[in-house]
Amino acid sequence: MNVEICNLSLTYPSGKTALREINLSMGSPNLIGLLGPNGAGKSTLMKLLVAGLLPTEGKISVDGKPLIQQERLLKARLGYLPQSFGLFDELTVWQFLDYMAALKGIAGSKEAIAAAIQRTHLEEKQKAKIRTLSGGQRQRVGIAQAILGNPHFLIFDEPTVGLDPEERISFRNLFSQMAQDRLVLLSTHIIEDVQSVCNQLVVIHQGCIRFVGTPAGLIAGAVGHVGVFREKDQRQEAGLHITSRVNTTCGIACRAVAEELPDFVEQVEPTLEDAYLYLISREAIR
Amino acid sequence: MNILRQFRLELARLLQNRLTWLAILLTALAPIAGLTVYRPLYHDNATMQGMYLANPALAGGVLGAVLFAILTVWSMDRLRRDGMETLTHAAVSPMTAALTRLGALLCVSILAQAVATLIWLPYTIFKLGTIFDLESYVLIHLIFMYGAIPLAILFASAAYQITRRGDLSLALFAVFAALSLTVWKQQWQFSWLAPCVFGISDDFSNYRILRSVAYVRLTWLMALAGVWVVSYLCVRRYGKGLIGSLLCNIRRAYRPLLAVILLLSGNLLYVHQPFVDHSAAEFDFAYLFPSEYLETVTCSSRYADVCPDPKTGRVSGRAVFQLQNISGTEQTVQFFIDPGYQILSVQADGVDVPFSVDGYQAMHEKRFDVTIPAGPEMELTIDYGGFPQEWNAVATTQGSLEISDVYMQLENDVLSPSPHNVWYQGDSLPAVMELTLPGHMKPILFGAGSTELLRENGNGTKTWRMTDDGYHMIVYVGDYILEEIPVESAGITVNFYYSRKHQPIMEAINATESIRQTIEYCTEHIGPLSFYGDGTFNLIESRISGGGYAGDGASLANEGDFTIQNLSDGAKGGSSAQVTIHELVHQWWGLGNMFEPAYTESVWSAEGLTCYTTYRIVKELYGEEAAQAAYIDRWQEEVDNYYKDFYVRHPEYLSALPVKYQAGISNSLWEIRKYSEMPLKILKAEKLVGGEDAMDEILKSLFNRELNPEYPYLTYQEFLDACHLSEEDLNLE
Amino acid sequence: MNKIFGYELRRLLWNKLFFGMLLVTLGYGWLTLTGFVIRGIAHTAPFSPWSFGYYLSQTLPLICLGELFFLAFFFSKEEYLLRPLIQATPVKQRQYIALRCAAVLTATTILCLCIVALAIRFYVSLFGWMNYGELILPALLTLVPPVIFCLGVGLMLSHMNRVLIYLLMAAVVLLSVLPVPSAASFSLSGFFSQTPLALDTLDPAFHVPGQILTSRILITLFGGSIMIVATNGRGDRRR
Repeated sequence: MNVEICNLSLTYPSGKTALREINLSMGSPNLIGLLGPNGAGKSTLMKLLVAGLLPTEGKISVDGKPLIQQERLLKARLGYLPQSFGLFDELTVWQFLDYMAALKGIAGSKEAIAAAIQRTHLEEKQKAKIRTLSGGQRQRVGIAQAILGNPHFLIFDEPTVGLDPEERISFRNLFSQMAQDRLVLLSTHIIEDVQSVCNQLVVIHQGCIRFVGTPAGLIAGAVGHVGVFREKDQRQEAGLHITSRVNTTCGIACRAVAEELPDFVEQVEPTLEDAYLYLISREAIR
Repeated sequence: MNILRQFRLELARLLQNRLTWLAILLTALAPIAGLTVYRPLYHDNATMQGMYLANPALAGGVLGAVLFAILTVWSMDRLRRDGMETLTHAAVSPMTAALTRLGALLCVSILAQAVATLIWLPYTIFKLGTIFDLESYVLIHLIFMYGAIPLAILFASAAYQITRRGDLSLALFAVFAALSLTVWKQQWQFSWLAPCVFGISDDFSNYRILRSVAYVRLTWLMALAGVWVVSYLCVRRYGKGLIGSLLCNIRRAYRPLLAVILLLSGNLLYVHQPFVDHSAAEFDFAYLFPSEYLETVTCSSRYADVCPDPKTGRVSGRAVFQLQNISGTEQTVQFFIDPGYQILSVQADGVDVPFSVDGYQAMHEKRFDVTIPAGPEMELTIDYGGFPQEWNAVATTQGSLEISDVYMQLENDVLSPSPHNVWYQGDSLPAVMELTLPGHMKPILFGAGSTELLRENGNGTKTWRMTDDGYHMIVYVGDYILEEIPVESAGITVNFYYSRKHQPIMEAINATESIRQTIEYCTEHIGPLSFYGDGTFNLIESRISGGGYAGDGASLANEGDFTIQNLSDGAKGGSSAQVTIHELVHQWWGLGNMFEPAYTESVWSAEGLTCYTTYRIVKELYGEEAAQAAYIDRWQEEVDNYYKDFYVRHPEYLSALPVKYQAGISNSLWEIRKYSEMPLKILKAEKLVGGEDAMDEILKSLFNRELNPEYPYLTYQEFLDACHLSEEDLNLE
Repeated sequence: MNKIFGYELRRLLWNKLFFGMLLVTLGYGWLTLTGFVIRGIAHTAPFSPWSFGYYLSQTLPLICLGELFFLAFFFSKEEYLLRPLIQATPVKQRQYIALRCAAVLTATTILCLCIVALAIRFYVSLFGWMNYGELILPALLTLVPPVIFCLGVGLMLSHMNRVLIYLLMAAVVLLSVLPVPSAASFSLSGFFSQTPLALDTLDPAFHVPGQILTSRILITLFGGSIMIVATNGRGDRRR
């Protein structure tokens, strides 16, 4: 499955531009991580991809055909987990998934539901009313409805919010597993998730794409711009973007990114988080 | 957090919102509806206070209640809507939050009422002029208007706390309010939103109706406070649902206990209301007559010492009867008493004798039986007292049994018990009463009899002795003016008593002339009222109530019959003063002296001839067209409806209905026959006998007929015989 | 699709809103029956089609309010949050809305049937009357047009702003109490209580004048058309 985004822009009636000239090509199998600060336009891009919004300019093509013509076909092969969503509190987990399976027109829904429940570890809760579930369990129901029927294109917007570390790892692995033969788009704030599973990264900032490539590529771009130092005087920090500050017995150990590192800063190997922060801070200075 | 501090914060939060101020503003403006679209006291005899004070207050109450219910639900739902609950509940307990929220809403409602009361004050003073009285103004605003608002807040808040749904809570409130305005409209204790208020007096006091409405509000307040506490127990906690939270909250025993106490209090207040009696729904005429008289017991005198308390509206008294029991054995004497009274003790010649009070009540009477010992002469002393009750059949027009330091209406059994199943030793049993009243008040006897000041007591009260030649006694007490109206052609003088407050209006509408004309007409066309020995009779203006009545040498008309709107409105023709005329005509076709004195199931009663004569007077005074519209057309319409009525045409369905449904239907049909069918039959008789003059002659002959002392009443057969007609002749098509 | 309809109906019926409305409507209906209808409307028998129609016309505002509350349930904030999930499925939006309308209509029909059943129970127990067939025409005449009308207009307004549906509820109440000519009457209470009085005969057979019939058909068609427009012209996606 191939999704092409050409010169995509979205301006709200209020005049606020959410996305500006986005160009992106995504093909399966792939697990693409979508990174960006709050309000960068990640969720808007996802809504455009599921035809929840229409662009003001540009187009999205699915397998070479405009999305608007392919909408039903796309949705038949789509699994989507929005950032915030509601569930029918009065239904049980199984009933809700059954309802969603009916909406998605999934044949053999019982097996599909059982598989989704099993993959999201909801076996014990399948007969529980949704209103009785915890935040993490509700999130799992959301993921379960997205993966119902093994869709070809999966879009997850902050899927691991509210999950405990063990569950997060488990879902990360699930996404990775699913991406073996599908296209998965994963939007998150948790760099660790992206680093662990994504083979491609897209960084959006202020409605524009700032980076497209592999995590290693993003890290490579930050080499020479990340360093550590012991804080003696707060004035030292001028021009530096402090990414961590750790109290140690020998004083405060700081980690920082900067376009040009001062002499007292010792260069170190950047992590993906350093690289992402470097990219964003550089864009901010520009 | 300290609950008071939290309450202040909640109040401040509420007052910072524009919607709250909108609710306050709209509530303050709501009384406008009472001047325009919602006027429950807008009928022919509405008083000035009714029109310009009670109506706006009642409308303000209804709309204010609706507005505050919306505000309540909105303010409670907002926290949930905005997802604020999680944050607030982290800081304060949801239980405390519920309490402070309710308190804040009640405070805002008090503020809204204060604003309304203040801004309507100048207008009311301007419209009412000399009638205006600050105490009445404040009480009416407080009870009629504000009384509804806390109830609405409690209900809406409880509905929300139980359902946790804004829309559902509003729907429930809408239904609760609609019930009061529709199906509960005629059930005075259920009308929580729009209370049953028939009239507000300009000239006399209104404490009874104010107390009654305040009582209904209190009953509902208790009940809804109970419901609220139940809903308080349902406040969701620890993420639990309704039942879970309930089980959790119920653990503190005082909470469910408080709910039970409040609900029980509401129920007790409902069941034991002191204002209205518990007469059987169906009119039980037979109850008024003894099944058999005691042949061996006679009563030779009756006397009572009566003390009405103007502060509490209660009456206490001691009645003394002189009895003769020549049977040689104990006998059970029956007495009637006001259903609201308790019998404290009964003694025969100073010795306690057994008595029992009948649990059954009917026709606004309660009976009690006293076992008297054998003895040719004994003095039976009965101590009694209580809060007089009005008849439940007219529960929606309460207020007539007013007892205050401005006005009192003390009728028959309200004054003292009356013997039921004994013969009188003489022709009648003159009632002698000593009445202790506040010093500034003077009693007026309704019928023929005498009133004299017996003594001035040291405590600012005066005791009056009154004697009524007849069996009954009715006393009015107030600040009355006496105007004597000589009616020369009738040879009588009318003692017209009316409130001093009403003097300017009486003069403006020339009420004396209207009275004189009616008496002249009746004297000329029916005959002189020769049976009044001293050639006088009393016409007394009473506090506004459901109608007037007439009896032995006296007639009563309520203040509504003499308002500017009614009497000065020539376009209204006959309807303007018809009640006054109607009650005056009862002097001729009286309730007490020419017809079977008590209620009977027969439709032949004083009302038929009285209605007919009133029509004739209105025709003469205001013209044929006015009389036709006000009487004949109305009677005809009523009678047409009667004959077309499904149950009249199919009585088998009526008799198959359960008794509770039968009673209401039968009573309303009977009223139509008495007040509309019979006058129409008399009108038909008038045509058959050759016109008005011929009918006048017949009526004159009936009025002046030789009385049969065994049965001195005018019967339908006598009327038919005088007309030379049969019952079938008068059948209406 | 049957499954989705089943779930939607189940959500609507197995809900305190439905039970609350049912209870309130039945309570109000019973008070109307024992307080007014028992006297017989316009001199006809309490169980005549005229009296029965009057009874329905009195309970109609509550039925319509119930229907609008059911509709509001589907446009509540909680439902709004679920919309992204639904939109991402291949089901046609108009089909989905039509299903929900059908669920609302079914729930309303159940409410109506309960109200009718209450009246029948009243007639049987008090009058031993069982000629149910006579009641079909007044029931259809009274209930169907307003129910369709409210559904159509309510749906249209909900799409604009979900608060507007509450304004429609207020309008329904107003329409029911305002003195409007029989032909334009929403609840037809005037038609049932006045028409027999205007006829010369007592206990007139139930008949519907052309004017009333036309107005009811127009109300139904208008409501139906609005419903179709609202179902098809659904514009969720902002451009």
